[in-house]
Amino acid sequence: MPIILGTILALAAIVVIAYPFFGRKRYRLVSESYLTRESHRAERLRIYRKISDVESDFASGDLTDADYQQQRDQLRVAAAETLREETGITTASERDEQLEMEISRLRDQTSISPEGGDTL
Amino acid sequence: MVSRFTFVNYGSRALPNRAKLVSLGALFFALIFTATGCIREEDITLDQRAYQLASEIMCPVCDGQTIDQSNAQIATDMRLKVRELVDSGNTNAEVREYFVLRYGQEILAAPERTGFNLIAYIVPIFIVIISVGVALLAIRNMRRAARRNELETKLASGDLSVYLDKIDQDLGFTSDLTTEKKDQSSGQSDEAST
Amino acid sequence: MADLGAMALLLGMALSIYAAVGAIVGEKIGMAELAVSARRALYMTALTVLAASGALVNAFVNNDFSIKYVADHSNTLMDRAFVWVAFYAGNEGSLLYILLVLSIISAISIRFAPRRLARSLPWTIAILSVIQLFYFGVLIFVASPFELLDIVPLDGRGINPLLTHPGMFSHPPLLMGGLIGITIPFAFVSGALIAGTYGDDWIDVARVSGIIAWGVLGAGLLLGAWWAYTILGWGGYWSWDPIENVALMPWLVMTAFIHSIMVQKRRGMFRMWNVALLNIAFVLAQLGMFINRGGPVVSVHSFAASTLGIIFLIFMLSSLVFAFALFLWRMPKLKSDRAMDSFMSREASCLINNFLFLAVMAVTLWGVLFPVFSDMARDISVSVSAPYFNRVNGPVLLIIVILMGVGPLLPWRKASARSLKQWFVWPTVVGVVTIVALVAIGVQRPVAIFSFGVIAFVASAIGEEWWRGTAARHRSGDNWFTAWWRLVNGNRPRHGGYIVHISILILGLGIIGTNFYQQRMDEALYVGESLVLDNYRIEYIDRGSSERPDRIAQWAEMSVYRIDPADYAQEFETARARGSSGFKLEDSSARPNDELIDQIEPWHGFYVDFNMASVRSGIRSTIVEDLYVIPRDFLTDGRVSIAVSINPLAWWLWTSGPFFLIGTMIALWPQASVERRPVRKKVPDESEGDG
Repeated sequence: MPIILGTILALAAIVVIAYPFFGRKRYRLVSESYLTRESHRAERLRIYRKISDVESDFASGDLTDADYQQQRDQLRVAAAETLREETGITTASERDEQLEMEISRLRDQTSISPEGGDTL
Repeated sequence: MVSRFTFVNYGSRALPNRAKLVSLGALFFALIFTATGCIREEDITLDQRAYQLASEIMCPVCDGQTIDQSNAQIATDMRLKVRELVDSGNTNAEVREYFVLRYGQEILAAPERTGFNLIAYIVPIFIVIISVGVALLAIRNMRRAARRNELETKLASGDLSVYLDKIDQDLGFTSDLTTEKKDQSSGQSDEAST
Repeated sequence: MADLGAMALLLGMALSIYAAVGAIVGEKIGMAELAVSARRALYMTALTVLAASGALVNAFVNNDFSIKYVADHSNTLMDRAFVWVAFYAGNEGSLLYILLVLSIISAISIRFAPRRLARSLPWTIAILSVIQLFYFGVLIFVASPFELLDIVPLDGRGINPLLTHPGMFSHPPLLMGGLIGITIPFAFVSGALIAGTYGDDWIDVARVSGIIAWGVLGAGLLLGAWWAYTILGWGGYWSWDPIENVALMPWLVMTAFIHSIMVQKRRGMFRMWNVALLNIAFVLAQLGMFINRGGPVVSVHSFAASTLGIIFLIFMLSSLVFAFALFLWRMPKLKSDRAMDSFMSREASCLINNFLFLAVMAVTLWGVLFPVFSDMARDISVSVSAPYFNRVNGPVLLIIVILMGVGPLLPWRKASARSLKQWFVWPTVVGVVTIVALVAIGVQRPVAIFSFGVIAFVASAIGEEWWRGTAARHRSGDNWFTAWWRLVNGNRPRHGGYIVHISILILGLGIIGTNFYQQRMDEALYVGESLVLDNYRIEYIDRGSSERPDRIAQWAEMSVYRIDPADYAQEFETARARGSSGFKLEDSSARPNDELIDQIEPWHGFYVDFNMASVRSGIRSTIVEDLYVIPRDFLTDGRVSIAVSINPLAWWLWTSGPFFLIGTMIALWPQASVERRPVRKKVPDESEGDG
């Protein structure tokens, strides 16, 4: 009985790890542009959190008016800079994506098997 | 956002001090009440000295326990011996010496502060001094860097306005209010840097 | 079931090799299928370890004594509830338990890791898999829990009697889980370093997993202290034992980390420093594993010394070299954003706090290693135990507590002289008044009084901080509680942290009370005799006993009276002349003001198979002090030898636990997004999402 259970476990593991190679679903590595954009977006959200913390501090009387204005303003500018980069990347990557979709459509039509997707 | 925080204009100076006094007072009395458990007579009895010594002598057969902690027979005997030595007028140092002679230095829970063992006590002092020193030095260096940065920093402007508006929209600031604030603050930050 | 366990472990080892290699190769050659498959292999290792653990539990439940580990750690008499404890009671099982925790938290953290870490995730997976591989290797080749016995015994040896206590259900698993949990933030940060992604992308995952590991470890330490207090039978709770120390050291470093990660989160500073702290904590956790398993120091906790020691030593040294080589390689690119504005700022106080925590850690490490050093340097053995650590660590810990009051009052960046005065005046007044009041009501011991003053200072600093924020919000129309609750919710990491600070203050009360004001008395009593100490009279009423095949238990029934010392004035005087603070009464007839307040039953068990005694002290606990009766021995002449102690404020030690947990949970509770508008639609489909 234990041997059977062990064998089932081994077979299950093999099926699960082999599935990505043989299953119907196709995988691509995450594109560099997506990563950069997500990274900027996350950075922007973190700056938002900092701004909200500054406001919370100000509301509790931990900051003077001048400090509050200065800190909040610096953070807003930092957020805006991040947003600018983020938007720049978005437009570039959207172009890439359209191109890719076009290519894969053509591939499908000519029944060339799709491979790994875009590399690093 | 800003409108939610109108009350900040009051500042912290205008808080009612009476209520503050009451709450701090309550905290204070709670603490004092619990501290009543700690009222003790200070004249150290022989008993107390013996227990103190028992907590400084290791039990030779137990792993890492003092005779005070251990329930082993030898620990009991050693506790009685400590008491006996204390009763017959030995000083703490003499009692420790008695056990060191019989069991070696290992019998003491903390090494004596003499000779080689002094290293055990000096090193921690150095560790603390060095760590605090490194921390203070690091802060000083970072402050220098801050001054350099301050001279170089200038707020980017102009081309960012589109993005700034979007940020303000994200954060729920109304745009007219923010521009007003921005003007104010840029003026103030100039002041600050001079 | 041993076959299933052994098979599952072998399979798990193969899977973790595959996961480590596959993740890196898949990333390097850009083969998404391989990368996804490697990640799934990591998930599957968790399943194999679960299967192996299930096999072991099954063997325990079915009393399968053909397995050596089961025969060594349980018997037919053992209460089935203790299977969970027996599971990790020995070397092999505890390693399996550690691997179980590691594989599950690895799978969870990888599964829920933010997509934007995709570039560093393969490296994280590889690091986690290599660490798992190490444990698989140890479990398969060196310390297998599934080793079979040639001759199957009729019954097992039974569980270690010291472990049959409720605290044991949670203390060891939490402690081991917390130690291994440090692996997660370490793996994520190291992964980011190898991949060369230098932003703050790892900050949230490192902070959350770091706080979880820290909280679990802290809870484990506290439960361990509670277990020691109630069962080890020596009236203490923390003996600075080497094993306690090696668990405390990573906790101290993680405490530094969770403070300075807040600075990184808010001000973008200390990035390099935080990486270094995680590295140190991880290496210290490995040091703990090493010392726990055949290290060079003795302790009540240590498992039997074994060849495992050298293996764990090598693994610890390799992780040390790996962590710091990686750090030095990537250090130039880890520079932080901004610089420090002032000494009088929260970030500066955080840095000092960090270095003090490291100092306590280093001093503790020095104390642990000094006996080894002394042995090697001059061939003389010395012991380094509680008196040493109290003396050297006490002052530094007190300074840390003072900083705990100062730091939160300082604003970020810089404080102006005006605000300093405004913020510090009340806490200082409360601190000073406390000291004066304590002296006035007759409390002795200057150091302890000063410490109480410090606690009052810090408590009122936190109180003032809350007061200010709450009052400001109260003005806008909220009632007091809502206002406070909104304040806490506005910045959960910070205010959760304050609640944890309060728990530390509460713990501090207990530590001061028990360390400075304990009263002790040892005596042997016949039935009918009493012992008088302070304002308690403890009367020995009767003794009971029971015998089971595995143990002989004896207990004493005792009545506790509160007395008026005036009734006993004469006896007290004689006792004092003799040098004692208490005395024995042969005649137990009650005096006029005696009041029966409690019945206690100190219990003493002797376990024949283990040649080991285990006691349950009789404890009467109140908010002010504990009366604590240890049954040292039941003598053949009918006397019971007891050690009585009065432990002031001991109740507060355990009260800190809930505050610690609540504070940690509030700090961890995810904050709602501050973004007001609907989240921008993302392009779906992209990337390696599996199934």
